[in-house]
Amino acid sequence: MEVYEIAYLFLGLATIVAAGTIINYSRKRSAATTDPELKAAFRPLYIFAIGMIVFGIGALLTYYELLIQVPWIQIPEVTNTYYYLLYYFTLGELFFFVVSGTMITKVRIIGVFMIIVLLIAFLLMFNAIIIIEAQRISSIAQNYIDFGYVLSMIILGFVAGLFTVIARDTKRSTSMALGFAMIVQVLAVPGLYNILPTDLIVAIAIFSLMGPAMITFAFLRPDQKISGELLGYGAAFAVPVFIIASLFTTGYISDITVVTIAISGAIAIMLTAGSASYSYGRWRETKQSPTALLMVSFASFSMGQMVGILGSIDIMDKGIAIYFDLVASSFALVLFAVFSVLAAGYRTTASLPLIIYLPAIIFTVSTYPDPISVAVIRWIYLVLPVMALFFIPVVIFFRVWRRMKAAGTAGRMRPLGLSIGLLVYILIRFPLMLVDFEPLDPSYGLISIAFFVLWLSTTGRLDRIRQ
Amino acid sequence: MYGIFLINEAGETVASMGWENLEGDSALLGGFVSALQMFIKKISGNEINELQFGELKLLIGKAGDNYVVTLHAFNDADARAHNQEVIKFVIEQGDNIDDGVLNLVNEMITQETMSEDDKQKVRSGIRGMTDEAMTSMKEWGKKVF
Repeated sequence: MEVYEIAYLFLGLATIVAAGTIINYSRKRSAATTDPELKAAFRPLYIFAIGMIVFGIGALLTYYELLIQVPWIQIPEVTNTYYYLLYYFTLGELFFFVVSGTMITKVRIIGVFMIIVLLIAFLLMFNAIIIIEAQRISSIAQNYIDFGYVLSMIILGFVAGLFTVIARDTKRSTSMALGFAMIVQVLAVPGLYNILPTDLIVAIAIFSLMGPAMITFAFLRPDQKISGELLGYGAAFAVPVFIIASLFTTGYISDITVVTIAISGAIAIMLTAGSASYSYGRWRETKQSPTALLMVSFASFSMGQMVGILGSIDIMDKGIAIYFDLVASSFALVLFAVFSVLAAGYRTTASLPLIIYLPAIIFTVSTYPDPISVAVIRWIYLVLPVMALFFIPVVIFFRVWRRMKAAGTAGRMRPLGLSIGLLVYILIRFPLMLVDFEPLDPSYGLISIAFFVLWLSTTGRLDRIRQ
Repeated sequence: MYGIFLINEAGETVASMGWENLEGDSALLGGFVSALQMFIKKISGNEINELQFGELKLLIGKAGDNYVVTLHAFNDADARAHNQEVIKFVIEQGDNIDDGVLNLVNEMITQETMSEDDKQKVRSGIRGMTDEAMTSMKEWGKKVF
């Protein structure tokens, strides 16, 4: 199975979960009001959610037919009829979307027009199947199906446009997420899979996974304004899912050690991407440069971790991936050092860690394609000061915590969490990086502990737990 | 397009349609256009391609050795395009053109499937519908999100 085929499993599940959050949101909001008009306004959302459930079920059934290699819609002596069922499920989904869209716009003629378009798409597939049954292979039948996909895309485009207009007006992330999910579903229509190269399909599969994830996050926190934060949350779901799907295609799924490390590593990516998104949201509110540094730092951790794991499980070139990971992870740690120095109030010396770091990393990278251990030993006199830099935030945050504790200041668990998280990260990650593991370095999984502590502390959850 | 006139090099009107929109003899137009072009060419080296008088305008183009003159309302936005289409047709047809053919050409080129009023009605209908949809969408968005 291809990665994008396995992605249908996760797409189906995520879509159903997203529909659940929409229903839950609508239920809570309409229960909170006594105004019958306002209660009625939530009906289109319910119908929309039903449409998503239909699609989710279709995606799950498609995954199942691809898994057992037996298409649901079977035509004697024709083997490649996968996705035919999904086509009909998509039309079912679109029917609910059209009804919902017509209720929102209150212009019946648009609804009638869209229903006619849907009917044509339905008949096209129906006729295509009859032609295929008669002739086995037919370019006319394929044209019918392709045109049907185009019609589906038009309706999805209409729904996407509708929510984008609403998002522009209300500035709410909820409608933006709905619009985004519809746009990426336009891209993920299986008709495109026949003509696009695999790399692009993989990228599309990741994007289409981001759609339901963004809906879920947006409807869980419906008071959010439109923000790039949501894209981060979407990626926090889609990338780990992609890594897990990759395990199936590369055959590592049978290796329990690799699976355990990869899943823990995927959780670590979720935590870092989530922390990065959270920091971005905070930075948008406060515009404080240390918060922006924190965001870049977490994003850098996330990228390094993702590329490192993908390289180790043969999705990318391993040599390049490991070096990329080294650069991204060390850069993230140096930014943490800058962040801590800034937070301690030393504005002028804040750039010092970067000045020390840059030559060291440039020389180390120049050693590519030798193993990292060789590079580190060759440039040890440059690497050691950088290693010392990594401990700066550990020490500073720990001292801040002690001072805050002595003064009894609230929110003191944040620096303590950062200090412990970073210490755990450094102690796990860097010693193991010097050892060559085949295929996957266990530290990718183990550092999820460090990122969990960092996530708890960054988002303020550690303080709440202490209370 | 009110009229089409095909004039040869000698200044004779070979074929015409729509002269009833003007007064006098259509044969005179041929001599006039031919003489005018000769005169303008002599003094400037160029040829005249448009004449406007009152509510009407004449567009003059060349199709091989012949002049193609078309008569339009002065504010006809499609005048130039129609004139070009007639020229193209005349070039394709060569000498086989008479008044009947020009009438047909006129119908072919200017055939309107919908009057301007009808078009306006459709446009305002669509605009009204879109505005209504936009307003409903925005109101709904404010209530729900």
